[in-house]
Amino acid sequence: MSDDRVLPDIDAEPYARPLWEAAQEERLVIQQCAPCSQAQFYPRPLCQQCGAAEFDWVEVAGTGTIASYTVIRRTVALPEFADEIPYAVGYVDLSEGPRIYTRFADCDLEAIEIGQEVQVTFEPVSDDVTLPLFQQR
Amino acid sequence: MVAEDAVVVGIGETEKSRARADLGEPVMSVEQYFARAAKLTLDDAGIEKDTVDGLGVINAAVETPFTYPAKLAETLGFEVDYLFSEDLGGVNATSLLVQAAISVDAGIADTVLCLGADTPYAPSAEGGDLFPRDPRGPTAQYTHPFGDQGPNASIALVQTAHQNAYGTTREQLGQIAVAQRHHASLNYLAYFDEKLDLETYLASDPVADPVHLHDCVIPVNAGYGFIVTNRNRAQSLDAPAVELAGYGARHNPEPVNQPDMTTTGVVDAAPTALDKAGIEPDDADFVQAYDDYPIIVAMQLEDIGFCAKGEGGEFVEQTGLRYDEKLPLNTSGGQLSAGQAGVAGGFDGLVEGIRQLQGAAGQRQIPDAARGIVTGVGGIAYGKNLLSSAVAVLERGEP
Repeated sequence: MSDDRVLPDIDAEPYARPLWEAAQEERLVIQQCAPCSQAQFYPRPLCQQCGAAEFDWVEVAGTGTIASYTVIRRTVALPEFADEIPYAVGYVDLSEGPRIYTRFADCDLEAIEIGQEVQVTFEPVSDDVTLPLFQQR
Repeated sequence: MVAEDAVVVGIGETEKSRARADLGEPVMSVEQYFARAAKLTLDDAGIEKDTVDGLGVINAAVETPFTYPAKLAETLGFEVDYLFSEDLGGVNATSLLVQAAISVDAGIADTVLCLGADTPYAPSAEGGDLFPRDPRGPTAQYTHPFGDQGPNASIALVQTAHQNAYGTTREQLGQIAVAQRHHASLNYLAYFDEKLDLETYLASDPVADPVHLHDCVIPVNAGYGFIVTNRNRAQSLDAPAVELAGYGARHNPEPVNQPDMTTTGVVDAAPTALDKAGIEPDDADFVQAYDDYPIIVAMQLEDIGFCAKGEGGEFVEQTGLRYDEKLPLNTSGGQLSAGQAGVAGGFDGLVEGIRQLQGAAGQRQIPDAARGIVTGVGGIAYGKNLLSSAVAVLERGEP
């Protein structure tokens, strides 16, 4: 992976900082609305379901199923991923409900399919950013 | 009828260019395309520039100055009472239309010129990104860092989900691309008019499985326009009038954890638009469905109600889609063949729909076209299908 890859700005949204801090410790956490208990991802300033602004951060089991995937065959938006091609990205439906975008690490591209069970794994990419990736189980 | 006292009376569309100076193609700025579109549209309607008192413009994807709509009015020399802009990607054109119609019907403006232009190959850009990267927000934070390669890769997820749920095939989706290329061969303003057959479509290079090169639009530089005015003024013009019979839209559908990736917001927008117009899908003489990818067209045909959810692939395989067949689809060639002018892309279908109802579509004129459906969809959403959808029903006006 080349060094100039695009990284999230962990200070861009102060309300999202717990996500990035937990990822540094190789834990995946999601927002859970304090009043209505609905979990959501990505982090938002309001609950999608009830509109409340108070959240608890809860650690998830790190398991889920593939909601959809694609195998990238050419770079279009992000040339810095050229060395990785072919690679798979897509959405995982976490066991707790929320859907999360990810790259599939060490992926068997021949065997990947919707509904497949996956497990979180962590990839440190800079001093302050660690990304939650997922692996086929 | 959405706005009783408002009709469309003129359209404009420029030639397309990929700024290949070596091929003799023009290399022009986005302001030049806006200017050219304005002139073509005014000439088509037979309206003097001075009588335009409302201006609606899109925010182009190419880098623009602050307060761009006003800067653009200044650059083009329009003095207006009402100025509005849109920044909704594929929904820009249909959204400008409804705003123009409402403002004319309300008497805020008498004659509104709506313009869309974009230059993915801007003279100032040197091989940069077709769409600038988001500086912040969900894409920058939560998908790009993982290797998301932009819209092709996002739509690939939608297509994978649709194929998995319903058995939709590339052979089926190819019918859309092939029919549209036939239309492009009858459109001198289309960028690509070489014949495309199913074998060539299927054999094109993979981009992001299952999306291949012939599933992707052709980015072009271009500009478009249309004019909305009141019935009184329309009667004094020589131009045939087109009415906005129905309109519906939906933004951010299904804000839940596991939304249906195979359904667009058209499923909500279409009933509103069709009810307002008092028609059923089969009453439409054509559909100009926003076509950033064939799968998006197939899903919209399902969501409008031409067939059941999941049967879009089968439907396009069994239904004649050419201008002289059962359901004329994207009769300009669409963005897949005529070209996509950045976030002005939706103008292609809207302007073509108006043109068909004016009886001005030349070689590809749908016989006796009286009403049709035009859609706009756009905005890549997180975890689901597209972010914004709009459906307009257009009708040929009283002579």
